[in-house]
Amino acid sequence: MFRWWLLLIVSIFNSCENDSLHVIGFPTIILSDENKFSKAKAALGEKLFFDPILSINNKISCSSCHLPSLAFTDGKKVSTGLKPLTRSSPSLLNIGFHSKGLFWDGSVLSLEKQALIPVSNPLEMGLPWHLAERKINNSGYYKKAFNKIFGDEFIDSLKIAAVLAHYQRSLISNNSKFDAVMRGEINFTPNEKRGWTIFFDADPLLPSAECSHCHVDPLFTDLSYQNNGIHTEDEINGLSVEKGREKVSKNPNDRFKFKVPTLRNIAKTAPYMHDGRFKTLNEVINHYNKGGNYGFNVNPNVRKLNLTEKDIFDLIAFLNTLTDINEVRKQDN
Amino acid sequence: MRNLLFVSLVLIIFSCEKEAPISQSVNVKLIVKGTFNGLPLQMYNNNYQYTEGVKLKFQLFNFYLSDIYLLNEFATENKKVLLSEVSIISFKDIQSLSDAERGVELIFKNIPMGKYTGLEAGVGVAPRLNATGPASYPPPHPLDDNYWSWSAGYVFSKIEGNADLDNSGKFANKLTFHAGGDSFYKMVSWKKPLDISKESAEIVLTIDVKNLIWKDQNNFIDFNKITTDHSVNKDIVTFLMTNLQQGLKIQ
Repeated sequence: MFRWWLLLIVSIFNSCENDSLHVIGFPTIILSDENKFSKAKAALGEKLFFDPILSINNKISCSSCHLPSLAFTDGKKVSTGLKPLTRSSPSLLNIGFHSKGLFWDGSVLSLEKQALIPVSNPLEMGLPWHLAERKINNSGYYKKAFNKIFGDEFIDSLKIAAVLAHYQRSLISNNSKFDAVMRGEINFTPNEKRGWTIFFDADPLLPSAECSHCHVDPLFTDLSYQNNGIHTEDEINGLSVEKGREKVSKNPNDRFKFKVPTLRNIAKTAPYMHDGRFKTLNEVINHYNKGGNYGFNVNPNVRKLNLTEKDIFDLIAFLNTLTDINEVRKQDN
Repeated sequence: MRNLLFVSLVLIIFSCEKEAPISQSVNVKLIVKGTFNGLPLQMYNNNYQYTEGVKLKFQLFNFYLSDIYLLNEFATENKKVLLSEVSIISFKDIQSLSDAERGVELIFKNIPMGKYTGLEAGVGVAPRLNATGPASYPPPHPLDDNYWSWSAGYVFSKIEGNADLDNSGKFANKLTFHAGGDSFYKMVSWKKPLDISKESAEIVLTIDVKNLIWKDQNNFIDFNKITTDHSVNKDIVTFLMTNLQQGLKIQ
């Protein structure tokens, strides 16, 4: 009996070391023992996220392409670091739950590995890591802050990536009107409710928009890679179209598949799609309403919908209930 | 450092535990092989004649099995040995011919050796699990996906693909059939002597997808008339789930 009490005491002692990152209703984030989440790491990561110190010209930070006011996107068709990139900046909200790959093509599996890429990418922040390490180690502020957390002298790229990753994990979107309705605190308006029903195909007497096959709540993405039929025949036959997931998997059946993005704060993250081709939610829904363009591997749930203007109006009313960026910013503060 | 302290203390605490008797155990491989009208089932890379003038291609076929047990009806105790509480059988990545010939493989570890008399499983997601949701399962887990938050819980089975209805070869007609709901969950058992006495013992189940959507000339899903259902049409979901439960065979 005594050993169980002792074990319990030891367990409590051990659990106090790390701050919790459990979000009710969301999947658990599994981290290795060496890389447990802590608020201190996240706070240091936040400082670095907004600091242009990690760019070659001291002008570009992570937040240059991931603005909190735009749900951590940048409002541009495609992002621009030191030079123009080829893809739209994805939202970072709830990114810690993305367990099936990061970036539009899933080419990186962890936030720690992802954080290493933009810093040294010549198109983005353009700072070779050995120089980035030198800059951080030469900063009195960062040297002291890192040593306080990691307890040793040299600040290497892995420690820098770790704190950036933990800050991103702390970006939680779970306090929208939708969430409040689900918690039973408030109600949808009639338009929002009808839009919710259309979104989730929840009433056979109303039209189905087929959205929730891929945009599964609570994350409003199933984290899968899909061809949603945005490419025209001319684009497919041209040479400039990105191959998407195929580039990573080397499987031709994954051609033009991109990661299903979250719809949380979708009202704030225009323009839409991996290449920012749609300026408004109306354009997006019209694309799906027409059934998308032909492609041998277009997801079969992308099909002609026959939604009316009222259906689309109500669907957008529902999508607007997924906004909670002000709440996220409050959490940041 | 604290982790090291924790691990050390746990080791010390339990080092005096009396060792439990260890029965011999092995890993068991459950293989599920799919076909369509007898041809190896491949996603994307093959097409299949369905009814006259209608060919099909598949992008996804999956289904859940819950409470998968080895049976031993002659045992005085432990008549059932649990292999898995829930597993998803997904053909999503079964794309090449060699993939199809190999089938979907699931490995169950540390299964007591013995001679068993059959296999039992619930086709679908057992009601107690169907009442949960993906948030309960840190990924990767079979139940971290395929969920209708607004309704009947998990999607027990999905068939997604394309039909060529106009003989153009484009397969432009999209097919999506998703079935689920507690009332469609059913336990199925297969009797067969299973010798689980060597490492990597294998059990093979087969399923012919044509048998899910076509029973006879008068009972089949006519893709000229219907191309989608998400468990709204009870006749269709009953047809699909019943055929799935009856169509799974042990080899």
